Amino acid sequence: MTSPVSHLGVLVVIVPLLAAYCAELPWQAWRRASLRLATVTAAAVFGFCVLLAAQVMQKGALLYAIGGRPAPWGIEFLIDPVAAYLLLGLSGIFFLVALFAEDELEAEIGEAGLPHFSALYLLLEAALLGLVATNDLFNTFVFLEISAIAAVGLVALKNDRLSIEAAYRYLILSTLGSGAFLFAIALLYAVTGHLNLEYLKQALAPALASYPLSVAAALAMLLLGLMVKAALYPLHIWLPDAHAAAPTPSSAILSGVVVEAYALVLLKLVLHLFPAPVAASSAWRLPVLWASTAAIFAGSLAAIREDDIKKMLAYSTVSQVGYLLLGVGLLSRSGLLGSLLHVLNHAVVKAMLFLAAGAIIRSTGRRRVSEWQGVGLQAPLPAAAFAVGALSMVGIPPLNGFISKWYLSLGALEARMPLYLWVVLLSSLLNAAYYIPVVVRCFLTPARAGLKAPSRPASATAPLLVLALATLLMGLFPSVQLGLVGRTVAAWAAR
Amino acid sequence: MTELLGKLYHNGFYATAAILFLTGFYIVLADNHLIKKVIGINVMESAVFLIFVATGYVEGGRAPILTAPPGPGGYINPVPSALILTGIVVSVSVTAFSLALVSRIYQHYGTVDVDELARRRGPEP
Amino acid sequence: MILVLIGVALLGVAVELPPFGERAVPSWNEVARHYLDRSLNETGASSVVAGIITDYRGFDTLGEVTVLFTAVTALLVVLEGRSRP
Repeated sequence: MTSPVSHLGVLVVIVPLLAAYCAELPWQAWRRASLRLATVTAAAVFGFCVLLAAQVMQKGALLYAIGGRPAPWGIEFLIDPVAAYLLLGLSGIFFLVALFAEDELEAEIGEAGLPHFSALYLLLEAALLGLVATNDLFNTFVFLEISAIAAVGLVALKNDRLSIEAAYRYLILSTLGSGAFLFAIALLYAVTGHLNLEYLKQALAPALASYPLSVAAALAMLLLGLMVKAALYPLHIWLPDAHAAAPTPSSAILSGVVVEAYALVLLKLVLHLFPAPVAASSAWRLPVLWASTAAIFAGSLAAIREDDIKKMLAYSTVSQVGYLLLGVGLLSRSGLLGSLLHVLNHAVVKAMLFLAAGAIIRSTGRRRVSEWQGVGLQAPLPAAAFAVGALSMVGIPPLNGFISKWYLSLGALEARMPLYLWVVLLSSLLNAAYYIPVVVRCFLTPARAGLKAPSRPASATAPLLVLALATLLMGLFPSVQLGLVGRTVAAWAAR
Repeated sequence: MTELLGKLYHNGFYATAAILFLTGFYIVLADNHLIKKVIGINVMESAVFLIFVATGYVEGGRAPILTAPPGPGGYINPVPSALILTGIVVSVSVTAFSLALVSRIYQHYGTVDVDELARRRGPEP
Repeated sequence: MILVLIGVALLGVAVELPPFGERAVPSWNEVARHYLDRSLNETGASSVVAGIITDYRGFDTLGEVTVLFTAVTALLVVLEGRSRP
């Protein structure tokens, strides 16, 4: 237990926490350096995650009792192959976006805001990675709150009237969600006396017999609370404004990682907490499926009408959350696999789209899609990255968006609900309806006069390149991802 | 029926918490005043704290401080109390942050009323 | 209307929950007993609640402190006098 390697599981959370405290050191000269600190820390955490994933691949799932207090008395982290896979992907995106932020952020929020950004960014990273790793219900709540406050802080960074208002709405709704979540924890504790997910699950089966109403209410509240946070359709109203008003790197993280992480916690609780008869019941699956379908269509339709590029991307996120939860509702092997793959696929693509859009806005000064004629010639690299992302969102084959949609479609067939196969297919057309025209306008229409073509530093273009490459590679070699998570998902579905 | 009411009376703390929770929820959704929404959140969270701590109570129990003798019912369950300490701090943080946001909104718009705010913001650009 | 429905459901939950104030309830299990019996030896704290928040579940308390820090940082973001119209 003494070698540092054995503590990797918890270091993934502790290191960004400590760095966040350091980021707020009050020296003038430290302001810019704090961003560098965020990048270096995110890189280090990514390194830890690589080691961790290697360890998990070798030895199987890793249980870490924090402070040497084993469950059920203490808090424990459970890093199974799925968690390792997600930690790896999420920390990678955190690193790339931080790299991008180093050059782009100051123009958006001014020098004084930089240390706050770094601190909130690192806190958010710590909280989200903690959410993935923790195996304790109350600990999940604590991480949910850290991530909520940090995310709202990242929205408010610009401090203009729109972002403050969006931040307020986000905070209130998100707190409603966590209120419901805590209420659910109270009920579950009252009927079982456990907080550790493993013990809780075991105790829930008998509790379900004695206290059916309480358990049902608690699980419903857990789901609802997380749905608000994951912005599943009718509960998404806070998302478009918040994601559009935030500075570019914040938007990329909020849309690309935060929402997915909440959807993922939902998936994790369904799998690790719901007793078998409840998990299979259509009482929660049907509402989730309907809400996902509504999200997929309503989000896309709203995105088609939207002219502001960042709002368009935000509405696209609303519809993508639908895909994430569609697989959870289907609850078949391929459906779960599709959802899980879509978490990272969408995270990579949406982060890239937001960063590319931010870079294009920065170099051309145009937020409106209708004014993007010939942008592809003025800012070739961001526009190319945008095009790759857009095609992946539509689900064009060699790119990664295709893979997750493929598995979701398979999942619909496996669950014998072919209706949702049509949902996936039709919605791809809708996605095409708003992404393809933008790409066409970028590259195939003559440019407007009077655009400057600034040269960009390598650290701002490198993340775009890496993300675009990842989009392609994740699509070309899905077997790598499947090898990481396939067996665990099969074990879940077999239950 | 009387049995049901008797149970409800016996679990009065839980029933109160349920009503308080709904009251807070209603305030957040229905009230147009930004600060009252924050108050609603607080009412809601207090309800959760109440129900959580109440689950730990034992008739005739004392606070679980081991240097003091236990009450006739022994000690109460320490876990809910410990968890709610954390919950309260979280709630305070959220309240502070949301009040700061409200004060900023007031500086920008000169109002804390939702309808008035929408009017002053004007139509979407 | 929906609120009334939720209200009835929650009151139903309140009726159904294990009776208030009794010792024979599910939450009074081996975990709670372990804390009461062993925490003095294991943590050295005579207040069991203190033992739990600072030792057994100390990680939650680290998280709690972090929530405070996050809120302070977010407050700085919002209140630092750099308002832009």
